Amino acid sequence: MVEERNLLEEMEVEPWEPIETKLVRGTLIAGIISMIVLAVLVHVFVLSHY
Amino acid sequence: MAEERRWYTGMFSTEDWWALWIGIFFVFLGLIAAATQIDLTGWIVKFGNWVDPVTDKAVFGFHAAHSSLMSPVASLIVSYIVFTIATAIGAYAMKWNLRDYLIAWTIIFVLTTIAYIIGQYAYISAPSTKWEKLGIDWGLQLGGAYYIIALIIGLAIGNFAPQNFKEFMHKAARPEWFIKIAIVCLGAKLGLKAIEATGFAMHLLFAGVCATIAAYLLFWPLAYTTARKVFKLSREWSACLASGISICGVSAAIATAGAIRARPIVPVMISALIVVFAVIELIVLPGVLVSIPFWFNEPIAAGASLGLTIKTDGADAAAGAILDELMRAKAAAMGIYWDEGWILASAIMTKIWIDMFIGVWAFVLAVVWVYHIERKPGEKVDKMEIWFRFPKFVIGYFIAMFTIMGLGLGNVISFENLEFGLVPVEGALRKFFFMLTFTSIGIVTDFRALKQEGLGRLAVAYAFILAVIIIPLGWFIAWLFHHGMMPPTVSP
Repeated sequence: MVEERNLLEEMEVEPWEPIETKLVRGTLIAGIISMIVLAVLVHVFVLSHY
Repeated sequence: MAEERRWYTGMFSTEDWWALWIGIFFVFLGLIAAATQIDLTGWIVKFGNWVDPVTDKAVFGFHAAHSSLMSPVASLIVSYIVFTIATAIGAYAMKWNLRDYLIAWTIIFVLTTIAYIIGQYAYISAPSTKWEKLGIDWGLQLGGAYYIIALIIGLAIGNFAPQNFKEFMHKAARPEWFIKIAIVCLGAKLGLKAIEATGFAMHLLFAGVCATIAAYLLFWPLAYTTARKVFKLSREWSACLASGISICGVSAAIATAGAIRARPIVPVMISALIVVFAVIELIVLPGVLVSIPFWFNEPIAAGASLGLTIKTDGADAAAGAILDELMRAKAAAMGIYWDEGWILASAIMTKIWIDMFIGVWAFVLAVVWVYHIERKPGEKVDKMEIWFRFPKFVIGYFIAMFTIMGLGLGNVISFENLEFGLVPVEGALRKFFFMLTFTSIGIVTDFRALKQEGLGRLAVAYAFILAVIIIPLGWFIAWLFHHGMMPPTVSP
């Protein structure tokens, strides 16, 4: 456990890089678009039957 | 990354593949029985409610699935022998210590059987609709109590047994393996159900995949950003934590660690948290969902929400099974009889779609890390990584489901004959492996892990992200994609 404790205590936190912004923003936008488009599809083809 | 691996690598050496082989073996045994009418599956031990320890048909409520085939005790012994041989072949192929496995497995089998018997005591778990038949006039009606009893027995070992014994029991306490075998058999159940309700099963399939895509694409960036910005974790910790909590728990944390070349200790520590929190969710969420009127009126959406928010296959399926029992018991008390298994199927459906995205996401992260973060010139990411990360037991689930659906809908084998061969597999055998999962989850869960120094910060981050992002968003998405869907009703 000493090794594990040290791992966390000595963690070097890198500065936030532009590629992380790109990754997070891209995934989030893809998530929001997917949610809207897929929700419409599910409503039209599935949930309208209930 | 995968220079020396072939597409078939691991086919006989990983738990995932062996879950597929064992699950498919039992499903095909049931199909042969259905096609030939030779009773190849009636020996499987089935547990039911009991009041008198010994009756003509059962001993402590257990009997052969086809009770005319053999005595209850013979059924239990044959089930022990066949399950032992099937899993021991897998254990041997995976190069586990076979002697230790057999001893630990036997202890788990016995404990699971005891938990099952206690939990099926009529005064504890029989629904009111069965009271007259059982000759009782009151009962606690704790549907699924046997699951909780198995879990408590396991947790007692995992948290209070001497360290040596606990470590020894880990040699056969394999919740993920047992649940994957059970999930392949659940494919058979869904196949049978789909013959009678094809439209509903297909709707569940479509809604499940759509909800999953939306959920993990939203979970991951929010979890990663929170870990980095709010809890000041490094990239490797944040990426593994975000994948573990967003996608599929332990496997996703390990896959992500491999993709971004994190140190081996990182997914190990995160996995400890994932397992502990999944068990807490398993205990808490079914009770919470059933007690909130909104969710009680949306039983399929409630099931799907478990698949999106509980991050191990074992705990999700276990919670789904409890929710299925609790929801149906509450509905039955109001005179509504929902068909068994659809709420559970909903919980499993979203989870296995999430499992299938592990490979894709590990591939995306590997590309981002190699080409943009580590920037190693000349290094390439092998697309076969997607296949290697793909959960193979899911193939077994769909083979079982679509084979049975095809045979039934095409009238190749009559529905009655399919039921004859397959009901013992998708019912009695599947439930026993669910029970083995509960006992094993308890054994491998050590709540003291939360007290370990250094893990506290990660645990706080995990709990915060789970409570503030994953559960609320998971609940919303489950509702958005499943609202209004109700399980088919049956006669009492």
